[in-house]
Amino acid sequence: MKRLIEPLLPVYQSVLKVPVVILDQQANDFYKSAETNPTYYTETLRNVVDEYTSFQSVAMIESPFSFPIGTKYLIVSLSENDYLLAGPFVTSECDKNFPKLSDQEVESARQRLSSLQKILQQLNSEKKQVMYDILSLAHELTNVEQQSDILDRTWFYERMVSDFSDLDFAGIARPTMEDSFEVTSFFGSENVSLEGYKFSFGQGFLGQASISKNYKVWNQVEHDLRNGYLHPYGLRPKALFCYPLLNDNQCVGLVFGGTTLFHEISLETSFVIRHTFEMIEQNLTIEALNTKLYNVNTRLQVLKEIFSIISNMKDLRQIAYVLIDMTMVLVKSKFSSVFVHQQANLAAPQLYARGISQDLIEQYTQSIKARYVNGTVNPKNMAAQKWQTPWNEFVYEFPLVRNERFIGLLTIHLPDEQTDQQVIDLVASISQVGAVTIDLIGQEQKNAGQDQVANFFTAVEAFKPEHYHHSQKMLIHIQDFASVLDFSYEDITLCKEACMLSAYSESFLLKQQIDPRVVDIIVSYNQLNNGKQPIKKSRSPLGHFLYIVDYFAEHQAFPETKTDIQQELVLRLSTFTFRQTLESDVANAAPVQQKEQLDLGIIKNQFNLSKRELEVLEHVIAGIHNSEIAATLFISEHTVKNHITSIFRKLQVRDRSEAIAKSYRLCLEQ
Amino acid sequence: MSKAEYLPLQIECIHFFESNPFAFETVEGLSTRLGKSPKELEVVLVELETLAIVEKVGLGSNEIYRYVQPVEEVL
Repeated sequence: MKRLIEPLLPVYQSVLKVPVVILDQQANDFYKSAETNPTYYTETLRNVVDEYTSFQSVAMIESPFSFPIGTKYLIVSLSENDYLLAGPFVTSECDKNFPKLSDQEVESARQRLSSLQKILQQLNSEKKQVMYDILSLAHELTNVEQQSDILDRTWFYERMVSDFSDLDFAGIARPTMEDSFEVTSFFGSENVSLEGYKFSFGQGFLGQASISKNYKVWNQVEHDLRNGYLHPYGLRPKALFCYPLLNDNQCVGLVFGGTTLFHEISLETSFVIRHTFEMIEQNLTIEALNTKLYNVNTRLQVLKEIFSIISNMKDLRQIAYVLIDMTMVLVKSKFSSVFVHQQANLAAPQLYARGISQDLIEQYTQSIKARYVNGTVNPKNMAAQKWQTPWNEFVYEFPLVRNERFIGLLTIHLPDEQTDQQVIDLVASISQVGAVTIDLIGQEQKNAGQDQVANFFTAVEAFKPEHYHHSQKMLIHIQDFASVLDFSYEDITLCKEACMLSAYSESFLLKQQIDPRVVDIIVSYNQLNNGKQPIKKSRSPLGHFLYIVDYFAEHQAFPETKTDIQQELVLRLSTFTFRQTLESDVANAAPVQQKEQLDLGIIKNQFNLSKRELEVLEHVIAGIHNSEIAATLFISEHTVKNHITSIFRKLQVRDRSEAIAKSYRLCLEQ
Repeated sequence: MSKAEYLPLQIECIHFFESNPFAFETVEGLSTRLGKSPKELEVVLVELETLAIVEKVGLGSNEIYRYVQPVEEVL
């Protein structure tokens, strides 16, 4: 208030012809119209306040209360603690250096100050009421835990109507699913209810506010055509307001109200409404942000927990259980399942499920098999997708993929079509964690399986030495031919393992828990060797491949083709071997002949090389790298290096080229 | 995702039952094992029972919860 009048003080001084000062009893706030002596005013006020309790109108202060002695002041009370003093002045002949006012001028000044006092009192009273209204509503709001809830409570609008004399109805319209609005809470002082009133964007006053997204007040609307929308409900407003509540730039509600009695809503009411709902809007935004942040934190915590649980598990079944149960809890899904595709040495593909009957499980298993295993769907580049089950329910399928390999499928039932995208993203992250863990378990078991295969192969040497040496030759050709045919690393490994274990029976291998895919290849290969066609078609191409390699290792030629598969394989391999031979004949025919004629038995005897060292030397002479030698012989690269060091020492050479040269020279000399 | 605040406890509960698939526990027993209040656990267990992840046997103070294992189908 004092700040409001401060700029007016010099004007009052020029009109009243005396300095004008505003101060409180303690002189803490001191506003003055010109340079004056503060002591005059503080002393004078102190004397007066001690004497009087209040000033109902403008009063004159004279000696002995005025300071300095002999001067006079006019005083007016602005509020409980604030006073305005005009002075000091004198009214009679006086030698003191103060302004001299006539009686007429004093009376004029008194009237002006009296008018000022009335204006200020009125202003003070209205602002107080406004402030009270704001603080009162703010208090109501802070007492409500969920701020958004208050907006749907009728008492809130009843309170608005009772607080503002120029409002006699108020309510809120919320957006509906059909892109329109419906009044959900309403209070009217007359027997009128607008609850259930529906309107669309742009329709009537309220619909217009929903488009503009700005606070609006319409006065003098008694005869406005847009008012007609409210008449069927018995509501005939003369003035209206509407505040669109925004959250993240989306209109979450239209708070409205008005009067059927007055043609205008006062500026003060409008001011309070606007500021109150701005505050509510800010609170709603904070509430929404807090909820969002809480949800993000919770989801991160959930992901961390699940990751920590799964990463410590060694059992595939347990991982499937965790994936099923956790996703069911997250999505409130009534059905969840995990399909695990065949992994290395593990048993056949399996489906783990919860929430559906046995016959539906069988139906779904067949559906997965048809789409994912038998290849109508390519899961490698696929994200989560919605799918309708054979029993007409919608599910989300999350392919478990790692390094472009299909590992399995996580499926969750959708509780409704409006499932939160953030939850779907969270389940996708969990499925990725599941894919990595299942794959790692598969890799661990695969490594253990490779050691087992290497041990079985070494044992073959003892009871079937010819088979063992033949298999060794086959292994080298498998590596060469498979790379020509662009076999995947996985298929090359399967073929090599099948070659190494081909001396064992099917029943023995299955008993030893050898990868069933390897056993399939061996069975097909054995059937072809016996002049039969493979019964199992799934792995027969690799069986045919092994059969061709076997024949080539023995005869240095390809067999007569009996099937389309063999014909295609032989055609591609023949092109390769023909090109190799042609290149070798043209560029380096002699060394090839020499290489073919090398008898390393002489070197073995002369330099006392072990069997393994001789095998390694053969590979070195063939120009094969250490890593490939290690893979072919199923030993570690470190062991290969040890063998090569030993060979160099025994041959008394420094490097591979010297070793190759010395081997050739010795063989040729013999 | 409703009742997000209960999620961590739900996960803890599920993990307990998955690690001990043959455990039969009362709310009080579970409360002692997990160090959580029975009141919180009751809310969580009701939710897990609705989803058929756990099964309730008995009534009143004799209520015992046990884990229901998912079904397995081999292709």
